[in-house]
Amino acid sequence: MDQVNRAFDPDLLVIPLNSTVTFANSDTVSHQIYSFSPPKRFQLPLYRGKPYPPTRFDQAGLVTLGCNIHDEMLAYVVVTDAPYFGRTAADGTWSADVPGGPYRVSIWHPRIRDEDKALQGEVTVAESEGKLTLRLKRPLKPAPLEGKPHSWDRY
Amino acid sequence: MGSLLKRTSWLGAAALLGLAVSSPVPALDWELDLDGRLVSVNGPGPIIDGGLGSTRFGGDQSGTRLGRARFALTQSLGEVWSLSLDASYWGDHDKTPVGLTEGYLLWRPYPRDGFRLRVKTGAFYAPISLENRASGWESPYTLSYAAIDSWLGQEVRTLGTEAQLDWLGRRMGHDFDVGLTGAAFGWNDNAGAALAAGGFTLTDRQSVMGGRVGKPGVPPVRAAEPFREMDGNAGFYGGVEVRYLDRVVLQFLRYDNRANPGAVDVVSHTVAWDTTFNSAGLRVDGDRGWTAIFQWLGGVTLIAPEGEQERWPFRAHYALLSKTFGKHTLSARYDWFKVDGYREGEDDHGWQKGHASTLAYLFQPNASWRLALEWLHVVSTDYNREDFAQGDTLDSQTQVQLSVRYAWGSTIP
Repeated sequence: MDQVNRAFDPDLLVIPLNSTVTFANSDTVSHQIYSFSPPKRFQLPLYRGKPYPPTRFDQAGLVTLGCNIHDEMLAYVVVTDAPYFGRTAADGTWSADVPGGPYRVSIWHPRIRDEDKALQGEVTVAESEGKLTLRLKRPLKPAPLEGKPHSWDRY
Repeated sequence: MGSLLKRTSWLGAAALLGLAVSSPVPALDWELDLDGRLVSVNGPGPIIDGGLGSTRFGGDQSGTRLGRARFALTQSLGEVWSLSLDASYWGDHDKTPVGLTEGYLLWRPYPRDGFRLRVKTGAFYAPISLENRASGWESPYTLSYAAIDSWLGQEVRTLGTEAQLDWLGRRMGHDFDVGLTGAAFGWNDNAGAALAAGGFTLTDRQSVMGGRVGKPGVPPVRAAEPFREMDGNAGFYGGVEVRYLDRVVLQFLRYDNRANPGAVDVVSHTVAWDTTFNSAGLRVDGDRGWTAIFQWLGGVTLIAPEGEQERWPFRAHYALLSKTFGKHTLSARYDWFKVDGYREGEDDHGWQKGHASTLAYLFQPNASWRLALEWLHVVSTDYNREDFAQGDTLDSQTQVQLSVRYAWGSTIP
């Protein structure tokens, strides 16, 4: 995960349990990453470039990242122990090649307001394919505002 | 297994230490801004020169003017400390040619368990203004600040220590953040002197440390030096701020400089101004570049030299609506303001009342350049104009400014 133009890039990673992430900083300004999320509490002191070894995520769950210098920076690392996972396309679809059988599918997005139980479903994959559609009942939270100059909100 | 893990983490720590030393971090951020203006203005001269005008420029000041020359730097001091200095030259006749509008040490430990603490010590702005959110405490919407912010920039500054504790709900899946702010300060015992004498104005002229408002010997403002300690009493303010996502900010703050209104400096013949006020504000950043701001401020400043009390209750509010289209921003603001004056045996001692309309267009093609055009019209009644300047109490003043600003800096691409 890089930091470009004072934003995490990408702002969402889905990774398997016990994998590592390298946090680079391609900006001209320094950043300072922190997380106080229970699955992974850590800090990367003020840096530029790629000075730190990769960070290992050894507990499943949601890790929210911030920069202690630039409050508007926000990113998520979803650490999962699921055998199949991924990030949906812009139209909300995701597919995977899996052996036949019953599967439990759960979804997450920072802007979803629905309760957890509405975000899970079960699907049985027959010989050809299985398909599951999860429909949100509540509207999404507003998207983060874009285009605000970085010099704003120092006050 | 346990000992293996322990050994690995020691190795990790050693690696981090080695890397931290071998990869120097650019710890200094700096910015230099030059803002030139072409001004057309009528009406009385500005308060900075002892006039009773309502705008930054006035009298015979039409023509080319310096808006602001500013140099700011932030130096990191280790991991969680930084030092910020903001110096400006305004091209007018202040006591000091160049001065600091802000200078403070910031301690910002890493957030823990959903809470973030920040502590500032030095000279800085209290978190009141919702429009002056850009660097240098400038407004990204207009050139001239609202009456409330013009007064804050002129007379109110925290010279002390402020702690801000935020509950970072948004980072824990909630929609809200909540922040509490408290500060103890000194050297603001003259806040209110220029407001009582000259009323509210609409300007972007911020006072500097050691600077003054007004001109020595020119009444009624004379040379008001807002940043002085007169009585040894610490002042306090406390506030609360609620943020909904990155869209809405709602804030309240109560300020009390706790000056002893009977304190007199016999050397300079100045008195302490006991000033308290409340402020409330709401800012909404909407989709498609819309921003709306409402802000209210009300309080009182009083003096009581030799036991005879004079008091000036004051109130002001404004509404601002702004729309950004790519690199273009159009903003409109309406201000209303009033300062009453009460002294025994007099009903209308020095009161001022007025309203102002501001229209501004800003074009920012890149991070370095900004072009701005602003029309500001102020209508105000001020009894001091009749008493001290032999003018009409009612005055209508129009100021049109064209501004070209260029910024250099380590953070400007």
